[in-house]
Amino acid sequence: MNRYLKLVHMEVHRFRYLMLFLMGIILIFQVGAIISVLSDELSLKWENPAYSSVRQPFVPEGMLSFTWVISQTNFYFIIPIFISIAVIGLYIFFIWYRDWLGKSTFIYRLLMLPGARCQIYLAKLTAILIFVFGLVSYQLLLLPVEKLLFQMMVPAEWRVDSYWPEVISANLALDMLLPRNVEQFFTIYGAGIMAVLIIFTAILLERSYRRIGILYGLLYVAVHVMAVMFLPDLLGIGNPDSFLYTDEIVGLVFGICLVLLMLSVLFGFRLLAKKITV
Amino acid sequence: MVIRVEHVHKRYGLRKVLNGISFTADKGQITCLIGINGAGKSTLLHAVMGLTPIHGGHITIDGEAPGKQVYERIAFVPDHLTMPPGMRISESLRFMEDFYKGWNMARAQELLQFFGLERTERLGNLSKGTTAKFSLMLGLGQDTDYILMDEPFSGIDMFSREKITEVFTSDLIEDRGVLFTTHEIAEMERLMDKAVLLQDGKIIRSFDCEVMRYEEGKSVRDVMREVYQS
Amino acid sequence: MKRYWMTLLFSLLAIGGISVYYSMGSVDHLPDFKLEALEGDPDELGAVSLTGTYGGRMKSEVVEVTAAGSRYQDRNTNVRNQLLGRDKWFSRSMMFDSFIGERRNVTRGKKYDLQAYINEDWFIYAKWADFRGDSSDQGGTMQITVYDRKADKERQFEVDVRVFPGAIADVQKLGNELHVVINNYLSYYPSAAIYDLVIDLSSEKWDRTDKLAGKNELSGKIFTRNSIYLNEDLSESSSAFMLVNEAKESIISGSIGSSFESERLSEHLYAYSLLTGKKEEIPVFYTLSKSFDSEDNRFKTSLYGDTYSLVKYSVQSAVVSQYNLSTKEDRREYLKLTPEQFGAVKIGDAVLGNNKIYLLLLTKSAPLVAVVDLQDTTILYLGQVAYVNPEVAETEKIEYLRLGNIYVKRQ
Repeated sequence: MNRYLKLVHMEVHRFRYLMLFLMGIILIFQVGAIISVLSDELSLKWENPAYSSVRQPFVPEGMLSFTWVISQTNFYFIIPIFISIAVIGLYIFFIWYRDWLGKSTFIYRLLMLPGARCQIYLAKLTAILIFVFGLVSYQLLLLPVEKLLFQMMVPAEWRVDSYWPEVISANLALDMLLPRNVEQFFTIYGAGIMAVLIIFTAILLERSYRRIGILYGLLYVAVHVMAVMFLPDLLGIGNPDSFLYTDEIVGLVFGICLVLLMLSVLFGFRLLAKKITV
Repeated sequence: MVIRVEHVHKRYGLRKVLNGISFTADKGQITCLIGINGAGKSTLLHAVMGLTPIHGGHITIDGEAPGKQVYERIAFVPDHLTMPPGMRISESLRFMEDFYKGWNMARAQELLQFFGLERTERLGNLSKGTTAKFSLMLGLGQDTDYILMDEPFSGIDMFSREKITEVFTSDLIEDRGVLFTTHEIAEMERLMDKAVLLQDGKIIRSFDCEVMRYEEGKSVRDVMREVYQS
Repeated sequence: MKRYWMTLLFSLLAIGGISVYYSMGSVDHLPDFKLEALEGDPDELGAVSLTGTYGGRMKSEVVEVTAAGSRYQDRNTNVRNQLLGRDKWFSRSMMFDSFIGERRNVTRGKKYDLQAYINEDWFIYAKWADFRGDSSDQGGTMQITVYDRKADKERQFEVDVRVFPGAIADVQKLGNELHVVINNYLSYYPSAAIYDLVIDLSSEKWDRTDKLAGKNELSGKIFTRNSIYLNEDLSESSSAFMLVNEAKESIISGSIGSSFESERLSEHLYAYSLLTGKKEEIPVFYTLSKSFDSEDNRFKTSLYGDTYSLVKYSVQSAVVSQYNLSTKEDRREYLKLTPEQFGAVKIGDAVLGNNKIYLLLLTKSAPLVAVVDLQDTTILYLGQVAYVNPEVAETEKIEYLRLGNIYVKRQ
């Protein structure tokens, strides 16, 4: 356990500047966009206090809401989120490949550490999770800060309050990253974790078998993607003649996904312990 | 107390790199694997360290297969840097202390000074010779029974080579079992106790150097000339 | 220990932000509604649901209100619910749904309402075991499952039938006869031949096949589109009526075999009795023509037992006409309902079912629902949408609730 935690710390330490950089650009883009939108709107309002660009049936005449601000800054909010997603996507591969590439091959040292090799796999997984959830939480914490900015910029008589779920729904990317339904949050991020594990194992396949390993790796990913996509239809969902009831099918789909997830992890462990080569 | 390699086979794709290798390396002895480049020496060391799988045969270190806790008893000094280039030397020492129970920080500090390494230097900025000294420090900083070295002198400047040779003959090495590889015999002859000659993935000669000199009057270089030129 | 501070910070951030949001910050403060009875018997309401949107936010929220409470669509969107919703396209009666709940093993693989017959005493299901191709008239083998609900006994048999094979459109039991209505569609062919396959339940053999409507060959651009209206009454009624609609259409653009547009030239509605085999046309008034369906004039229909009901409604009034298929009694526009008689301003929507009419009435504040019996025109129920938690009225407005549709499930 101790060793695993130290490995997690080491991995987090290695991406700390990247994470801080992403946090920085998220802050700059979002705060910049808010200030820009609000100053434009406020300059119009100073001339004509009754004016408001807000065209919503439920916001009183001439008032501004934080939800409206978020709906107007969609583009500039989404850019840093996209960049972050792309960076994390690449990092999922980089977190393994960086230990093999270049003139120093850290993988030698990692593989020679006393203890079970599965801890390396788990530490890299944990690091990715910290990266993802860390940025999502950071975005969540940024919202009240941005709301404070809104409150400081707009005088109270021109403001109307908003609830958080409404604010989040006003931005396309946030709406997807932070779904209203808690179960959907777990489903989406659970699926994401499953994807990471499948990619990890595919990477280990490539690193164990080299040239033909690329084929194995791609096939491994393809099979899983197909299986998950077509599973409900294969089991007969929406078909009145199907042997299984819909709730049974849904249970089976989730159950099978869980099993595939476990198998990927165990397979990855085994590759790392017995088949990996420097 | 021995590293035992028995009938080991390994392929890279279709090419047979190790073709039925069997030998032993005893604790307290310095064994040298000799062969031209591509003979499979590095691969063999990797296999002993569990860094690459084998396709036949057995490897045991004091009777155990390589892996897990065995890494506390056997150390590897590779021929290139195997730590993150952004790491400082001081951080790498702390890394070893974090993960190895058998890490001897005091000895590592001594070696650091002996080799003249700078604590705050980043590993990526070290020259080839300094990197070799650094790797050797990491290897010897562990209290292990065995130490494996891959081409410890290849491409190293003369002064670094002298320093490394000093370590070889010191008490740091005395009780340990050393297994190292080289393709150039030069100064290494007087350091080794046992020589194992490899060609095309097979062992063609294996002998005790002292005995060879005494009984047949041949140096290791003489044997090599015999064997490789026939 | 202190060198780990950044990793610890990031880890705490990762867990903290999201858990705080989902446990506390994600309360959307959307009000919950339910349908409360003002007059009459709440049991007469049945499974009525109202759909629409609730405003008061930048984006209106889609909401469904019933007597049990309200459900906001966005709050409940997740993968599991979307998958579970994949079988909502078959609309079963409440009795069928509860039967599936009781006897999962009997109904396994037999959940399609069109192929099932269910009432208090029986559950019968018909499915094709073996289909002998589109072009042959050899028919095929049908598998019939008969389950006696009172005795808890199931029997299953296969019967060789002679009919052009097609989709099973309805199943009715009349005494010892099992009538399976078949819609014979050739792929891409809009014209269907409709057959009634009769199977003797005691001998478990095919008895005869009656033809209800023919498949008229395409002559030039004109073709016949046949369809059937199913009976909602689940009891083993003595007449077992169903309606057959034969419409003549003309192709405007495109062609048969791919997509095409057509216009309706004429329509005839026939009542067919599965018992007597007689097919009689019903008055033209009940045959809906194009002039009917517009913004102001909408209509709904329902076949229940012997009566075929038609309601034409607009925002100002709903007028019901009923035709009895066996006595031929024609009650033209015998029932006129206005929003004012219930204390409302407009009619939002209407639907017929279970021999009743259900109205969604809009007022200046909360919407109303009225249920009127079609037989004796008595008002069975009047209810109003109300907040589940009255305190919510301080921050929300019921005027933000805009309900536009009413649905009722067959009992």
